[in-house]
Formats: sequence, structure tokens, C-alpha cells
Amino acid sequence: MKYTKIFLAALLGFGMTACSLDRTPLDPNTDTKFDKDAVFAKCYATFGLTGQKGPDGSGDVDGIDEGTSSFYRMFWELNEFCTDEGWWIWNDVGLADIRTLTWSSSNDLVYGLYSRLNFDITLCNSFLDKTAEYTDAETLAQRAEVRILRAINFYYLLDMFYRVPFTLTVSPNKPKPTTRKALFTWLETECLELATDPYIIQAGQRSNKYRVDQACAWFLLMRLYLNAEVYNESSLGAKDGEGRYADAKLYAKKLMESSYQLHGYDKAAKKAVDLAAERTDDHVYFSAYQQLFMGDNDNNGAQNEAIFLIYQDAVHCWNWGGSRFLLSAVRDANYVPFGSTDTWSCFRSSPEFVFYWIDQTKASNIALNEYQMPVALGDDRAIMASKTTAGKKMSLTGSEQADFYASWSVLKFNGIYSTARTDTLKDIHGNDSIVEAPWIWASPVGEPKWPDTDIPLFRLAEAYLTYAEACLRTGEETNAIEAINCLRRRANAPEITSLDDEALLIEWAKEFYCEGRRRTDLIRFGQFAGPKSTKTWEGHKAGKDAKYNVYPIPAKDVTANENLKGINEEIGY
Amino acid sequence: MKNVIFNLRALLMSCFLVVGLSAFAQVMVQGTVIDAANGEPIIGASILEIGTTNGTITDWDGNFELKVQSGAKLAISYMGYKTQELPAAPNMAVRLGEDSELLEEVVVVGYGVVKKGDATGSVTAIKPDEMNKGLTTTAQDMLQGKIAGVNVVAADGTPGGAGSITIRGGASLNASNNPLIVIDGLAMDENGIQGVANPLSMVNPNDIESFTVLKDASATAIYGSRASNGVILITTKKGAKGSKPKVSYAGNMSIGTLTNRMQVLTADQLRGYATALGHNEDKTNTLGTASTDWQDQIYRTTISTDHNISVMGGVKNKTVDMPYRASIGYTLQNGAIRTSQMQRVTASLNLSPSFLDNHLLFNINTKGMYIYNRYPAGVVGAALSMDPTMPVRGEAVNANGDVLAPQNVLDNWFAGYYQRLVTPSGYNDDAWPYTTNAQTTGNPAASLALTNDRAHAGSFVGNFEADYKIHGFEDLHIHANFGADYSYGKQTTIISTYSYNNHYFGWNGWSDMSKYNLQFSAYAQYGHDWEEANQHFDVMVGYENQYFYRKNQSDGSGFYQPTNNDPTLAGQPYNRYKSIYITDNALQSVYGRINWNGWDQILVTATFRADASSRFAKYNSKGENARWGLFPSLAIGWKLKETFLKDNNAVNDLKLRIGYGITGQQNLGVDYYYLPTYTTAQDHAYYPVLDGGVDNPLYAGTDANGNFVYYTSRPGVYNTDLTWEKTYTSNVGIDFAFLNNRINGNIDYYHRRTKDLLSTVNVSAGSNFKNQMLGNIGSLYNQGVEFAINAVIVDRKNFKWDFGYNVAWNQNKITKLLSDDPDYFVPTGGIGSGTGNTIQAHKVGEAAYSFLVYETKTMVDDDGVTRHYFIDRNKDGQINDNDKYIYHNPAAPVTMGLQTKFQFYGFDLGITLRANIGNYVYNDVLAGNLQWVEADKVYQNQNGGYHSVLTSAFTCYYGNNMRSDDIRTYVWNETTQAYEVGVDSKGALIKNSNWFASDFFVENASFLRIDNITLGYSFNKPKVQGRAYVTVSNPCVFSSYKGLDPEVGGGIDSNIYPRSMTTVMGISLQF
Repeated sequence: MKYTKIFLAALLGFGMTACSLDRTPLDPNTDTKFDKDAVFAKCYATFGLTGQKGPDGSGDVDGIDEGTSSFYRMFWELNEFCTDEGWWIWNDVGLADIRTLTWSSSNDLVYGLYSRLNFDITLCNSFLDKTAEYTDAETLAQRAEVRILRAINFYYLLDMFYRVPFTLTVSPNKPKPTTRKALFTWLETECLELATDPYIIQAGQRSNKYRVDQACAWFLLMRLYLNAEVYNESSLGAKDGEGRYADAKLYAKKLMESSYQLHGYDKAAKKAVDLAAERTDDHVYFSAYQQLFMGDNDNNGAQNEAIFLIYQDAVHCWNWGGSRFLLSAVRDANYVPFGSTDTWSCFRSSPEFVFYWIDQTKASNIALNEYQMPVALGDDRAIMASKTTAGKKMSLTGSEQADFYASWSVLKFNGIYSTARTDTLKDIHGNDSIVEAPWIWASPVGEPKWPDTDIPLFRLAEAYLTYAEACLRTGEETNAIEAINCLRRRANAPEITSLDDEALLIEWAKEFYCEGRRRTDLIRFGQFAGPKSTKTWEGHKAGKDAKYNVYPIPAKDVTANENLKGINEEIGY
Repeated sequence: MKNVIFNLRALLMSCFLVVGLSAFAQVMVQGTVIDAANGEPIIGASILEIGTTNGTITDWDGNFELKVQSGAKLAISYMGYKTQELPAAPNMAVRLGEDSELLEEVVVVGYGVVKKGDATGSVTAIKPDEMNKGLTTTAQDMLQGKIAGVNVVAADGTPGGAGSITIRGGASLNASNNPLIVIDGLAMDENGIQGVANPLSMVNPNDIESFTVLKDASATAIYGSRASNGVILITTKKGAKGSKPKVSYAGNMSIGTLTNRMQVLTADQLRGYATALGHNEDKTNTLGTASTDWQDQIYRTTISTDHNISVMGGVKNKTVDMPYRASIGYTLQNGAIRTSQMQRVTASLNLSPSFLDNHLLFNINTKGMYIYNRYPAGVVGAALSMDPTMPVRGEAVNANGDVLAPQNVLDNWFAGYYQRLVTPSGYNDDAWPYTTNAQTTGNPAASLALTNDRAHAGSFVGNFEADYKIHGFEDLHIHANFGADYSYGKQTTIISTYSYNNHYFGWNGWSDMSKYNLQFSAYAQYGHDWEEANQHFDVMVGYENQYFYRKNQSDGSGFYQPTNNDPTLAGQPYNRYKSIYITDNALQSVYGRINWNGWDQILVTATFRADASSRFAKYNSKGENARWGLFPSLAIGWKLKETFLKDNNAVNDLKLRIGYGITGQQNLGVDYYYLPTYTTAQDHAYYPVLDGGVDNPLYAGTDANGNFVYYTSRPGVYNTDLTWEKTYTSNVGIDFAFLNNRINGNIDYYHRRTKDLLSTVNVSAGSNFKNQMLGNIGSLYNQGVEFAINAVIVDRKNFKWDFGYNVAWNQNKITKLLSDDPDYFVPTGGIGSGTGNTIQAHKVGEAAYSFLVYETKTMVDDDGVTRHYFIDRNKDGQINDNDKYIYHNPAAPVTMGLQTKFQFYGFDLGITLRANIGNYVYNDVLAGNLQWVEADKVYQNQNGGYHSVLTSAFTCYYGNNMRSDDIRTYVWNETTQAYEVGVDSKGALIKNSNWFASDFFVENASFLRIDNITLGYSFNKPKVQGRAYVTVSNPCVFSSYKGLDPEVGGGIDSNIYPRSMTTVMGISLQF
């Protein structure tokens, strides 16, 4: 028995080493506590990052390549690929169906966008839930901002989908779908309330250029009202909603008269500022319009035009879907240095877009880079190249094929600083200048693949065009023309004297191409899908089924939420 | 199995040669041992002087000699025969009769052993075939093709690389499909670490005594929590009681050669092709004048060696009886890709002392390993696409004598290796005017030379077992096992500043992992024989807990050159990544087993196990238990032989086994998933919206470079309802043996249904913090039939022919997923073409990982040209994702293995073969290459140069007219009710650019592989026994698959590390 006791005692000793099954995370990057300020920062970060590791590795959204799960890239792709502005060369998952308007509810890109917007909204809802009891002024101001961020995400749901599940709190209860009209009304009410919220930062008074203020609420209202006929239509493509052009004009005007200003435009003198005059000898000239999309656009003055600016940084903020994608997608290795060493050569214009600037016969004779083209076309906004530095000339055939050179390159975004030097580069044989623009980009501090170029998500110029369109719809043609001419003067383009629908639609394209809003504009002009549309472009036939004016709710959410059963069938998907 | 094993036993017996203590009056005994049935001599029979440890074994002619005390009694025994005890005499002729109840062999099962004849579950035990083992770098190589239903896929040709082992098809979709590996009673953590692919790598194959594979639930349920995919028990060798020290050496040298390579365009073919395409001088002037076979530059013939020494024996004195075994092994394996290498040193020590008159048994196992790995840069794809007209090193010139890359430039900025050059945009360094063109292929020879990627790892596995038989109540014993496994691995990667991928900045980084796993288990077992009633009964109850800890860290960066124009950056780190990750989990379990053997005819085994995992919530959202899982099993064996065929001499064994049981799975890959948590931003994921952050340590801090950053915090998705995935297995089997056991085998049918599959579940938007999460939804089943047979075809004095064959059929089918929608599927299987494209899907009614592709029809057009069309399968007038269909899957429904061996005098010749039938592979290499054959794409404008292309892509393009730029659509016309060629509004043919998603690239990859051919010669001298052999491993594979190797894990072939043919010359000696 002695041995038995010893043995049992030894066993018991080992048995005591058993550890608890209630483990808490050991990882230093994982916490179980709510950190108000850090979650507040995350609500903003969803616009400029895809997750908690840059450029990838801890994504917010699953089920889609993390690089493509970016807020900006997702809505950008779904607003651009299906339009007359451009063509994506690669065979990314789901892309072919977007280009040709044959998508279905199982499309991966649609799922990616929908999931991204809903993640962002859930995050904002969670922040608002957790801070509901807070009464300090700082938190109340943060709450107002988070509500604006949430409204921005809801706005894109409204614009790109028809009926979406709607909830303002995080709970395991599956949300019920709202109607498009109800969502419009809710957004309108929310933005009106926020615009007068006592804790909201007043327009132009923000201390941090990446945060939103009252002007952002006005901006959303302006967009809602401009598109009210579409958002409140009785059936898809009917465009029979109540027009709200007077309201659109009102908020556009508020913005135009705010302390935000068009970069390089003297509002009082009604003329462009001569930025070239300010340069010193070893600086080159970049047009004001070009400076909006450059590596130092957060402090070269362009930030004053950005009502909502998305942060991107060569050191701290990396992702595959922000300005990295805007810069790299449009270039191959043989382009004028542009501030990144990475080139994807997968996005180009479609020929129809080129012909908005210049007629077909002339266009085919032009071989210029993106610094020569604006001069040749007499419009600073024509930042396109029709050849590479290696001498490859684009064909303008737009053959719907995987050919990067079948139309001009659209190169408005770059990573260069507007303080760039005018040094001459040598080529590999020691000869001068294989590049045609003589400068080295003034380097941002960081990795040369990643740009510093911030993204102006909401730009004041939109208020001018919105004002112009609202005026045209309400018979104020002169005011409309003047608003457009403000933008044209800033861009050193000839002023216009008359305006019609077609010209206005082209003007939208010229000012805002590659900024992710073309689809919305085409729909508002009745030119996207539906029996009345007449426009054709590369990959697109006129008269497509009106259901393509919105994207279907992804089948994956329909399977996860029984409240959504049949929701796509209602609109013909 | 019996004969193979038992003859191996004969070999092993030679290890037990023992010499007794010296004594006074000794007699020399000489004798012969023969088989009573056929008069053949018995080789390796054991002769023991009873009451001593003095003994010997018979030689090849059945003769023996032994000095014994006069008047001694000898015990003459041989496995499979009845032992005889005879008085010693100077000349003895012993006739041993076969033992009809020979299945006394014990096999190791969970928490104990069972007589093979009494096993009720589907349990297969094998001893490594010492005579024809081929090249066995890791333990899993020894299992390949040997056991029906156990499918071992070696990863590729990587030295010491991980493979995958699947038992009876995968039971899980998202959770792990690896079997549980238990080494000497210690259940291993399945994660590998730097330099160590999987836990099987931790044991030297030469130390392995036996494998036991538990396949059905009645055998595995005792391991409950982690046993859904079967269990592999490994028992290492031990010393023999009271035996004299015995030294063994086994060593070999092997030569590896690649017998198969991808065919690509040669330099002359490429130049000719460019001319044939009518390329202008702008293009053709970029072609060089060299002729380089880039595959020659990366592959090599290798020489590798392996040495193992072991000492075993037993110490015996008054207080202790302690067998011991110690071994040390060294393996050097050079990989077929230059620079790749593995070196490994293993050491093991086993002590199994017994005390207190055998009442207290200890078993101490320690195994240590040190491993060094050098990994090659990823160059397999580069060697296929690099321009063959360019030199490896030095100046490239074209046919006009123009210098394409000047020598001094290459020397100064590219370490002398040829690269396509461009002017850098972004270095901001006047001293670095050149860089590599990122859109071109990197010189693979340069990549190998300029990358130093190596890992060192050490691991220690040890366990201490104690078994105590209660004094005075010997039917009860208590068993305890305390074990630990600790591993540390560190991988260091240094990439030159002259390299293609990390030009200018270079890279210097490391990552490491330390992990440990602690296990404690104890059980009490009571067993009793009621001999008069012919009843045996035993019951066992136990407790176990395990704890797993893992910590990863990494740090690395490039550096700005000291010459950088910006003095604040010069010499500073660039692009630094630093990360840390720590996780742990724990399991607690109770288990038990009841065995009843009635009348030696009916066998009943019932087991239960209850496991609690820290990965699940104590209470789920409904307040129910999610943490504990219950895993019972019941099995019945009926010895038909003992019931009906007692007097039948032709049938030696016939047993029916029926079993049912439940096993679980909790290996999700993540811990704490049920807890709401927040994740802090790291690595370049900062967002500066908070002002005055310096004063607020909560959301601000410094990044890896010491720069001030703004943290963000993200709430994570969580699921309190997450719980055990359970697999319900039924098994029916028959074991049989005929003709004096010369033929034996088994046949089994099984059905395994997995419910509550740990799956990725779509989350209703707005209700949780991610769009997808892990949940328990779905079910699938595997069913199959396994058949194994072993036969001794010829069994004569000096000629023996053994034969073993196994075949398994398995069917895998998913029966439920998240949605009831018949079109619902879960995409999986990423491929190289495009971004985010997948080629496989999980779909209800189909096998997991089935290929989801467009049906492609080949038609000859009016103009006489053969074209390929995607079919509008759903007849909606357009081609989109909804037209894809399920077309085969990567798992082979039929797998088989065959081993045969001839022994003729001292010579032996063995062959092992393996075949998979009906497995399919997506040829991603071919699909990816196809687009480069398009008229102009062999010359890439943006690259300013040519690259090479697979000749098989040419055959497809020109031979088959399978064109990546010309897939047409064949759509349903609702009006005419017929298929027609799709045209757009302008009447132009609609093309589809998803060429890579064609079923064309899903190829039948059935194969027959010769694993090993071995020729050996054994000798048995008085002082030394041994064997010398030559083996050819992987000499050839027969398959119609067009890629490099049809055996591709996962079914997507994308540039695998090729497997070599290896010639092994080896010797083993025992002193």
C-alpha cells in the first residue's frame, strides 16, 4: 500500500498542473477592452486601409482578395468598369461580367463592395452603441463624425443597390430590408440633423484635414438631391422621382461659398491663379488640376478643395486599393516616372472617352505623354498619354480584349511632389533622358512603391457641376454655364457659351474621370441601362435591361438573412 | 501481413542474440530447427536456455550452436510456431509445428495494447520494411502506399518537405484533415515550425519499431477530440531485457537526378519564332545571342547521405531490470534545386526499467533533433519564362552587336548577373542609376546566388510513463504518462541589394517560432480472466489534459544605401516589418474503455471519451454547453473461425468486425474565436485622425522604426455558438487467413458522416463584425471499401516470394452547406491567372474541392478552323459564372499499393508500386502560359523583351487551337430553341476572356508510380550480421498528365519543386 500511496500522490501532483479552459488572448495585438479613441480612428481608417496590417494580412472583409476589398477600390471599380471611361485588362474574378453588364447576384466584386460598406456601417454602429452613454463634448463630436462616416457608407449602398438591409445597431438579429425611398428619407433626415448638430465641427473649421465637418453633411445632401429623381423612382430606370434641384442648388451654393476653395482658382477675381509664377528655378510647373492628384496634395493647397480627404502614406498607410492602385494600374514600366516603382498595366481608357476630348481622326495621329497632352488638347484636365516612353503608341481600337494599348492611358493620379527637381536622368547607356519629362520626383519618405498621394473622395468641384446641372434643370442656363466655366478657367480650358445634356455629361467626365462616379452620372442622364439609353461604348450595348441600374444583393447575404428572400427577384435578378 | 512481418521478426531476432553468464560444466549443443509441416529449415528461430538469458538463433540453414550448462532445458521458439521446451542434448533435431492460434501478436492501440486477434476496430499495424524502404527521409515516406485507405502525398521534391496524409478521405472542409499523430503515447501538435514540416519529421525513421493506423471510430474514439481523421501511433524501438549490448549501424549514400523537366522554347526556337511572327527589328533587336537552358542553371544532380548508429541492450541486476536503447542519426539531403539542403541530427534514448518484481514499470523516451534547412529562392517558374537568348552572367548583345546590358553596369549593380535594366524611379540615389525591370522575369541563377534563406530548428520530445501494478491486487494497474514537446525554429532570410526582387534595398530579416505542448494522462485498468468460464473482462478509466502554446515573432527590413541623396535616410532601415503573435489552447478529457471477450468467440469493445476544448465557449448564446463533446464508440467482433470452423484446417482465421463511433474535430486554426476581441493595427496600417496623440498612449505609439503612429482598434468577429465538428463512423470488416496463414488479409466497408462541419458561414450584413465567420454548418460523408491481402507465394528453403497488395475506394460527397439553393457553392482553390480567381468549389452533391469550370466544346467552323466554345449551360443567352459546372475532383477514388519481394539465398529483390486512378489536376502552369503564346505576347511591350514559353502551351495553341484570346461563346437562343455562336449587337463574335476557367485544363492525372526497386544481399557471420543494398527510388511514373508530375497536393499544379529519381546505396551492420 505504501507504493500505491506514493504513486497516487505523484499522479495527483501532475494532475494539478491542469490548466484552465477559460483562456484569454495572450497576443499583444489582441485586446478584450473597448478603446474609444482607437475604434473612432478605425471608423476613419476603413476608408484608407483594408485591415489592421498594411498592406494586407489582417483584412476587414473576407471572401474576396484583400487587396481588392478596399472601400475606394470597390466602389471605384463598380462605378467605372461598366462605363465609357475605361477598361480593366486583367481577368480578375467577376470582372468580365461588370464590364459587359452581365453580372448576377453571385458576382464577387459586388459581394466585396456590399460587404465592405456593411462592415464599415457595423463598425460605426458599434462605436455609437458603445458611446451612447457618453456626455463629454469630445465624444459627442466624435459621435457626430462617426454618424457622417456611416451616412457616407449608407449613401453608396443607396446609390448602388436597390433595397438593402438596414440597422443602426449591432445585434444578432438579422436586419430587415428597407426601401430605397425610405433609405433616401433617412439619409436626408440624418444629414440635415448632422448639419445642425451642436457638436459638429463647423464647415472649414476642422483641425485635422482627414476628418469630416459640417460641409460633409451638406455635400451628402447635395448628392442626394441631385439624384433624387433616380433614388425615388417608382421602378428601375423610370427616373420619375420628385426632382429636388432647388435643394441641390442650395447645398451646392453653401459649399461654394464656404471656406473650401477650388485649388488654383481665385473665386473673387474669377480667374485661375498662376501657380507657375510661384515656382522657383529648379521647380517644374504642375497645373492646379494636376496638383489635386499628386503626392503632396495634402499640403500643396489642394487639400483646401477636399471636403473629405482619404489618407494614404508611403510609410504608415499601405493598401492595394487606394492611390497605389490608382497609380500602378494605369501604367507599364515605360512611363514617365510617376512616384512608384510598381506598374500593373491593367487599366486604360476606352476610345469613347478619348473622343470626348478630340475627334477620332485627329486622335489617332497624336503621340504624346501625359505632360504634353494637356497642352496639345488645351485643357489641363487631359492628363492622358497616347504613347509610352519606349515609343509604343496606343491604337484606339478598344477591342474589348486584354490589350493595355488599345486606347490612351489615363494618368491623372501620380505620386510626385509638386516640388520636384528638374534634374536630367540618364538612361542605361549613359545617354540623357530616356524619359521625356525632366525631373526626379521629390521623394516622399518611404518605400518607393507606395505613394503619398491622398484621395480627395469629396471634392468641391462637384458642387460647381452639381450647381450647373441643377441650374440647367431649372432653366437657369447662364448660371449653369458660369459654374462650369469656373472649373474650365481653373483648368486653362476655353470657356463654353452654351450647354446641353450631352455637353454636361461630357463635362462631368472631363472633370471627374477616374474618380469613381461615372456610373451614377450616366444613370442620372438615363444613359446607362434601360430601354431609353442610347449610348454605346466598348463592351456596352445600348438598351440593356434596366435592372443593371443597380447591383443585386449578393446571394451570400440572401442565404444568410432570410428577411432578404426574394429581394433580387423583385428587380429582375 | 503475417508472413512479411514475421520474417522481419526473424531479422529483428538477430538483435536479440544473447550470451549468458559463464558457468562451470558446459555442454556444446548443435542442432537444426525445421518446419514440421514441410521440412524446410526455419531461419532465425530462437533458442534459449531456460532460466537464463543464454541463447542464440538459427542461421540460414536452420542450424544453431549453443554452450549450455549440462542438464539444462532449452526453449525453441519462432513467431507463428508453437514453442517447444526440450532437454539439451549434443545433437538436436527440432521440428516446430505451426501455431494455429498465431494471432497472438499485440498491436498498440489508444491507451494500451490489444492482441491482434482480439482487435475489434479497423486497425492496421505495420513494421517498417527494412528490406525495401527506399529513401525514407521522414517517417511518412514509410507509410506511402502501404496501407489501404491511407493516402500519403509527398509535398514535392523539397528536402524534408511536408506532405499530407489523409485517412479514408477528408472528414473536414475548413478544419484540419491531418490525422492525429501519437509518438510513444504523446499526442503531437500538428503545426510545423521553421525548418520542421510536421510532427512526423521529429522522429528518425530508423528508430521506428512500428506504426499503428487506427482508421475507424471504434478504434479512434478513445482519442475523441482530435481523431476525426484517424490516428497514427508510432512506437519507437526499445532494448531487450537482459541482453548484451548490441551495436547497429545503418547508412546510405544516394544520388538524386531529375528525370523529367518542362519543355520550353530553346534560344534558337525563340529566335526562329520571333522571325516567323514577322516581328520588326525594334523587337527582334532585344533578342540576345546566347543560348541558355535556365532549367540547367537551377537544377542539379545531388549526392546525399544518411548514417545511423544505435546501441541497445538490457541491464539486469537485483533491483532493476532495465532495457535501454540509444541512437544517433545524421542525414544530409541536397535538393534538386541548387542551394537547397537539409541537414539533420537526431538522437534518442529509451529506458524501460522495471522495479519491485515487475510491479512498477517505467518507460522513458527522449528524442532530440537539430535540423538545418537552406531554402532556395522561388525560381521554378522563372526558369520556365526567362529569355533563353540571354547569358547567365555578363554582357548581353544582340545579333547586331548592340549591347543590351553593359558588362560594367551588371558588375556594379547586379553582381554580374544578366538582368533587364530600367532607370529607377524612386531610389533618389545618384550612385544607383539602374534597377531591374519589375515586369520582366528575374534571372533565376541570380536569385539563387543572391538569396540566403535558411532555418535552424531544434526540438525535444520526451515522455515519462509509469505503470504500477497494485501489490496484492495485481488485476489492477495504474498508468501515468507525462510528456512534453518543445520546439524552437528560426529562419533567417538575407537577400542581396543586387538581387532582382530586393534591388537596392536588399532584405535582412528573421522569423521564429517557439512552441510547446504539455500532456498529462493517467488511467487505471482492471482486467481479469475467468478461465473456467472462458471469459475475459477489462475496464479502463482515465483522465488527460493537454496544453499548447505557440509564439511567432518576426522582424526584417531593407536598408537605404549609404549613398542615398537624402542624408536622413542613408543607411536607415527601409520597409521594416515587425510582428509578434502568441496563442494557446488547452484540452481536458476523461476517457474509458471496456473489453469483454466471451468464450474466445465474441469480442466487445466499448469506449467513451469526453473532451473539453478551450476553443469553445462554456455556454453558447442559448446558454447550452458548447465546450464539452462526447465521443462514444461500440464495436463487436465475432470470431467465426472459433465458432463454426474450429476443425477446418484450411481456414486459419476468420473474424467479423462491426463498429460504430463518434469522433470530434476542434482544430480551427484559431483560438479564442468565441470571445469578442479587438485587434490593434500594426505594420503600415495607421491612420492619423486623432490630434495630440503623443499625450494619449492609448491610441498612439511608435511603429517598428520608432516613428510616431496612430493606432486603430477593430472589433473582431466572434461566434459563441461555435462547437465540435463530429464524425459518425460505421465500419464492417472481415479479417481472414488461409493455407497455414500464407494468405491473409482483410476487407472493410466504412461510412463516415461529418455533421456540424466547421465551415465558413456567411454572416447576415450588420449582425457581426465580418461578412464571413466560422460556424458549424453543413455535412458531408465519405464511404469506401478497403481490401488488403498478403501472400507468401513461394516458401522454400532458399527461395521465398512475398506479395502484398492493397486497394481502396473512397467516395466523398458534400450533403449540406449553408444554403439550400442548388446553385450555391463555396469557391476555393486559388489559381495564378488574374486576381482572386478560383477553380474549385464545395457544392452539395459533389465531392469537396471539385473543379468548377466552363464546359468547352470544340467545333470546326465554316472556315475550317478548329475553335473552342464556352457553352451556355443554363440557357440564358449569355456566358457568365452561372454557366460553370462541376467537372471531376482532385481526390483519387481508387488508390492502390503493391509490394513484392523475392528472397533467394542471401539475395533479396523488392519492388513497391503505387497507383491512383481517377484523380484530376488543374494544369495551372499550362493555363498561365497559354496567354503568352498569343501572337505578340511572347514579346511584351511593356517589358521591352521576350520571354520563353512552355512548348506544351504551343501545342495547345497551335496544335489544338486552344487560344487564350479566342474562346468563343455558344449560347442558347430562346427563339430558335437551339445553341448558336454568340454575336454582339454589331454582329461581331463575342469572345470570353476567362480561358483559364475552361475544363480543358482539368486533366486526368491517374498514375502508376514505381516507388522503389531494391536489390540487397544479407550476410550472417558469427560476429557481424548485415545487409548491403541498392535501391532506386521513384524511377518512373506512368501517366497521361501533361504537366511535370501528376501527383499534386490539392489538385492545382503550379510549378512544383520536382521530385528526383534517387539511387540509394546502403549498408546495415549489427555487431
